[in-house]
Amino acid sequence: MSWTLFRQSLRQNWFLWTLFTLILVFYLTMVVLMYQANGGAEPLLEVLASLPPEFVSALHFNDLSVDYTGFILTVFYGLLAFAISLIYTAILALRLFAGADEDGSMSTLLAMPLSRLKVALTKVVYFFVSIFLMYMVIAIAGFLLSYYLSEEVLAVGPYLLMNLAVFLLVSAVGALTLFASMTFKVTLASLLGVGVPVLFLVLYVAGAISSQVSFLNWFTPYPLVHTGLVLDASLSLWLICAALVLVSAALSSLGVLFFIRRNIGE
Amino acid sequence: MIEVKDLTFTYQKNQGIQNISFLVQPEESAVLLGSEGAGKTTILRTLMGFLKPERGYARLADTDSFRFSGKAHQNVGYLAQESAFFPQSKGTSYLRFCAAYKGVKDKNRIRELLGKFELDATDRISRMSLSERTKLGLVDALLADPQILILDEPTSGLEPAFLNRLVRYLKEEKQKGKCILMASSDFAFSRQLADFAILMKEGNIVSQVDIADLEKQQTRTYEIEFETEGQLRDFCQEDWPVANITRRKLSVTLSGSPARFLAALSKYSILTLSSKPASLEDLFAQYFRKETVL
Repeated sequence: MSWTLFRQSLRQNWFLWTLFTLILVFYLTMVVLMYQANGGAEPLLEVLASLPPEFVSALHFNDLSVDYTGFILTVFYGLLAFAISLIYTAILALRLFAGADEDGSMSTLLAMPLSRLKVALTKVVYFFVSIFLMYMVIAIAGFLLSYYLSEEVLAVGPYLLMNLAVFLLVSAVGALTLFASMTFKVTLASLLGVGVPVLFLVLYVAGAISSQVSFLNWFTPYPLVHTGLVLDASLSLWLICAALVLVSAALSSLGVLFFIRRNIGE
Repeated sequence: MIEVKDLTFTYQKNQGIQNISFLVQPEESAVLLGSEGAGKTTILRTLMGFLKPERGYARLADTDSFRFSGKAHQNVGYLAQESAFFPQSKGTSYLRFCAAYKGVKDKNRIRELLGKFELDATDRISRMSLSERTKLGLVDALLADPQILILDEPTSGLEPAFLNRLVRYLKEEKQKGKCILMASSDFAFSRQLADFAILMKEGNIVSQVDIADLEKQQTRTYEIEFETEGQLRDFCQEDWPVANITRRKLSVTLSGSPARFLAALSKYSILTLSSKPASLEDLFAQYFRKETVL
């Protein structure tokens, strides 16, 4: 781990991080205000009842909770938050490795007295730390927004658990892009590293439309984390969290192994 | 010390380098000469550990430059052909960043080198001219006062007035025990600085030339003007290392006694014949004569 490189990664990517964190906080503000302005979830439930059930299912709103915490967990930590996080992790992962190889800055870096392993590990750590900090800010913003904009109080346990689970899910999906970025040149890295997560998201939407296509959920990790699971806080949640950590660790380690053996600037 | 032994690397689409071997000792400097695509930059990039050799090895200070790149680079200054400097940074920020990586504690070192290279690095790198970017790369390469310098086209864009100063500076560094390897297409610069030149063609070393031998005038270039173009064509059919062919003129670079060559010329009607000590350009042209004929 090189602190100099970590600080440099921070300086190079702070704008990207700030932009996406602000987008997510803005979206969270809208969700809190939506609940507060309508005096609860009932008006939204009435609107949803008038929509085609397939559409509501695709949005993953069919088990929308009426209580404040359940509402926030279902509406915010769903499709849109996953999509925004996916864009952030894809851009960041590609910039850190494949993009740096493409623009020559990786060669500049590797000309320094830094081992490839140190370069790779530092960038991988930066990647996960930045996602962690993003969800930490969102978690804190959720409490502050509830305190200042809403008369309701967020249930601390489930809310923090949801942030943890979503952080691990976003990290695991992001680790796939990171792996591709460490292993391949920018074109193939973009195709695999962005294409597959986007496919996961499409399957997440499609798999919820009806029971006939629900088998699609088996091919995407997004349905793993949902409000019901977090509210139950059962053993399944912890097993899923452990599995997501393992996936992130395995993909990152594999990526590092490929990176230290590959040609740079070929 | 820079050591390259049987080094082979092949690109996916293009040829790379084959069985390259040479050694550059401390207080020595060598230049890789060759046309574009000859493999000069590939050798330097393999030496820097960016490319994994298929066969053979590249070592910097007795350390394998691919397997232990971090350790190998501890005493190396590198100037890339097209340096990527994080273009939105200012030159000074970039140098501070490099100094941090290289563990340069002396805060005056950057200022000292900027002064020597007459570079104002306060501007954004994206706004710098090619000459300024090359100087910035040279300052970066020399920042940690490394024992090994690997310079890819160190004269790119530099104004002629500055070149002599650069030669002087690098000669001083060499005398301090540094080992310098560069790829260059600037023959005059190479001749002034290098102890030997490695001539490359299509990924292979075709010759290694001792610059001191050239200086001692052991090798000469003969320029011949034939009476007719037909005679020139006939002469080209013979097995002489001809180069610089124009309508009725050509040049031949030879080492040792010219007796056999002069005897061969006696069969032709010659308008003019002159000779001069061979330059690196002459030797280079000799090895690339096939392309010249075409």
